[in-house]
Amino acid sequence: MKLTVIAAAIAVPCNLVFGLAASWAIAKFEFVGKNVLITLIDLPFSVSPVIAGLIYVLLFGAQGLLGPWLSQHNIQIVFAVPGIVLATIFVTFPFVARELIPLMQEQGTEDEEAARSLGANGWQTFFRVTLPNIRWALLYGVLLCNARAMGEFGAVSVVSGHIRGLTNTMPLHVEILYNEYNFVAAFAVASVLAFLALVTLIIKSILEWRHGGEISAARA
Amino acid sequence: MAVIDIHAVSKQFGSFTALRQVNMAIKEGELVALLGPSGSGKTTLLRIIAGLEFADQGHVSFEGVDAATNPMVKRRVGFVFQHYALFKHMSVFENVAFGLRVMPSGQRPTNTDIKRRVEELLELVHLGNLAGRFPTQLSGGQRQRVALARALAIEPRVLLLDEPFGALDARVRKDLRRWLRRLHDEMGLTSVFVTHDQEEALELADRVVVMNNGEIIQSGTPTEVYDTPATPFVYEFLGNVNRIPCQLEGDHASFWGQSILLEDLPVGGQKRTGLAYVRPHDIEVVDGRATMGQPAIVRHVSMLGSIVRVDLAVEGAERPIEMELSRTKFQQLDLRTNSAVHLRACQARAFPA
Repeated sequence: MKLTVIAAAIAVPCNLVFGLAASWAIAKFEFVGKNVLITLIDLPFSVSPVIAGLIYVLLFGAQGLLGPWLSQHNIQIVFAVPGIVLATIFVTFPFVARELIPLMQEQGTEDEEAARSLGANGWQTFFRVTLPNIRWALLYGVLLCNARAMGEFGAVSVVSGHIRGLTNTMPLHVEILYNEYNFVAAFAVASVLAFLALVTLIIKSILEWRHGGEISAARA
Repeated sequence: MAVIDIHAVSKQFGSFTALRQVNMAIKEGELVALLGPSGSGKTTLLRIIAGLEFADQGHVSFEGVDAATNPMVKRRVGFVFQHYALFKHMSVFENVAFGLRVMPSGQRPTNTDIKRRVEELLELVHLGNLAGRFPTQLSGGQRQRVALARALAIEPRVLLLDEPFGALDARVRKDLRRWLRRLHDEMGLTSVFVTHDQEEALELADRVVVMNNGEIIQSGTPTEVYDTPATPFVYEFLGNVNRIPCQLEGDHASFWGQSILLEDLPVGGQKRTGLAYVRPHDIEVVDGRATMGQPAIVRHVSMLGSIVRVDLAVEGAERPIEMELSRTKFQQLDLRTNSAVHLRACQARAFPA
């Protein structure tokens, strides 16, 4: 349980910042490599999470590319918390950016230009104009991102190593309990997860209902 | 003295040349219209003056200071966007106050000063009672005025407007035009606005700059550009015009049995063909019994409020000739469909074809 929250608590803000930065760059500026960036953002959608997990093992595992260097410096990533966080960040990568890019593209740059012509600097423009324009879509993206972060199974399963009490997130725990024929416990944990999902759904519906217009650009 | 000096400015977007070698000076207190069809580079020029876009070549200077060394804030330029670009999440009051609130803490007025200043501006644009509304609750004309008040809040020396009346209906547009002209004069601003509407440019501006394909074709007072267009393009862009084939010889153009002196467009000695440009209101009907002038037949009559437009068929011309005359004159002449008349042009300019 604790690990699930930790993983989400690190992965969601990371992807919030990354998603914001990426969509800001993609929607408001022209630069070389823009299409490559968009493709990269979509990668986690097209690659199976299990493969993502395996790549992490390949990179950071004991026999992996960076393995020797990591063990020299006494850093453990795979089969430890950092691995789980990294895997979670990877699979939740697209949620915020995918939600924001269409909206920001639709809004264009006129508001920002207006702010600039009135003397606002970059930060003032961002916090007073850009952010308020996208706040509800951003919240929506974060919510989806969070839901996925808590529920992720595949990638996390590969990198975690299933060490009970140490590297076990809730979805993994459900699997272990189930395989041990401990149905009562398995369903109890599953219910907690389901409850979290339900809360997310309710918040999501409220957002859609109250601020549908501002989010819908991403839907259309 | 020139407030803004634009020197040999060029701008390229990919393979599209938006501006080529544009030179222009804008004097203190002037109200200048940049007039041209879409894609003529007029908006790009405006955005370069504002500092929203940068010239590939050439430079823009404000009162002798090169703008490149002068960021947008210091230029003290107010910009009104075509679609107003009001901040949707802010009230009218906050929109207007924005430019004051983002000032560096040293220069920023106190809250009471901001409040007083914004209220003054809202009074100026006649929106004092709508301070608490949000942009989505306003009509197009009201939004336009909020955008203006917002731009004026930073006390600009120069006011730039991108198609300021483009999205408004005809009636509101007319009122706002007159109001803007008054505002410009009262506040002693220097203003530049972009438009593709020749009527707007002619009515509002002190000087009209006609652009096409990234170049300035002609610049002059509304009377100058309307009465003595430099090229056929300017002729056609500034209102309706009839094109009549003519013979050019020496400094004369002859058509319809009349001969017109070409003032500033002498064309060598040899005879050649050209086109004479005649405005619809410069065509008149010669006395019915006379045999002078060009015979023509009335095809269609349309009543356009105070004036009457008559379409006439002239033998050998593929397009009908358009003539405009006052209602009184029309009644005197007693023109009907299919009646035969003789025409002459009282003013024309000709260009080699």
